[in-house]
Amino acid sequence: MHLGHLFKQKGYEHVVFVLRRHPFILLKSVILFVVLALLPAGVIFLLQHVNPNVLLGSISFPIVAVAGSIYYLAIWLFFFTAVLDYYLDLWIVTNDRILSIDQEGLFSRTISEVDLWRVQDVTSEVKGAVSTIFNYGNVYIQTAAEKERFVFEQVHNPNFIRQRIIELAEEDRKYHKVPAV
Amino acid sequence: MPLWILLFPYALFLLVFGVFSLIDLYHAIRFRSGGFSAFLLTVFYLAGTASILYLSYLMLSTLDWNTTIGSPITGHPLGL
Repeated sequence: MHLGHLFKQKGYEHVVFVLRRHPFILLKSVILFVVLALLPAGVIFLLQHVNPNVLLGSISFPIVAVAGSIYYLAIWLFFFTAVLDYYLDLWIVTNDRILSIDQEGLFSRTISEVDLWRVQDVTSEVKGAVSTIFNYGNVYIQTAAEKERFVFEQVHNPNFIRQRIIELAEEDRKYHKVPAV
Repeated sequence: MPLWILLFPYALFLLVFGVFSLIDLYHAIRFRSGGFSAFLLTVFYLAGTASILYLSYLMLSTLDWNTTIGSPITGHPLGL
């Protein structure tokens, strides 16, 4: 994976994790899109049972055709935006720092980073039946410098990630002369 | 009132759709994190958009857009 244009890597730095939300989150958007795409077919089927000619009028058919085109283009655009939102949300963990790249809708993008040696507390959370079955959840990272927590949202195997970040933070502290927390 | 009046809101929607699509594609290319995935995502979206537009064209091109939409008040037939 080429990440050079997203952040400038230091000479000694190497990427340990590149994390995204669990694919199940994307599957929800896919299912919603399929349901919305099939919805007009169901409505047309019902209308044709009520009155077979209702959609074939010289006025009603063009209206339905234009409305259908607008509807399908709109749900396609919303679906693509949802996929893009999933694709562009990214958390990068290196042996030196943690980067969070958060795309919120079309016009908001937040990039933040924290040094690993500043990490004080890491908490993983798997909540609910679906999250437990698919093993995804949140990882909360508390740092000494900031009150606000860093959150990896709905990532796969959060317990393993928590453990690995604790190990990496301990390793990084050795190079920053900070007493172990 | 001619039927082709319906094409004005449709054209306006297509304009908005085009602008938002360009913004989405800009994000996909500008902030991509993989070598090939952004390209595949872009092709996937463009192919889907082209398919919907082509099917829309097939349906809309056969219609007589000069048909008049009448009004019950004026007594002209609506053709519904």
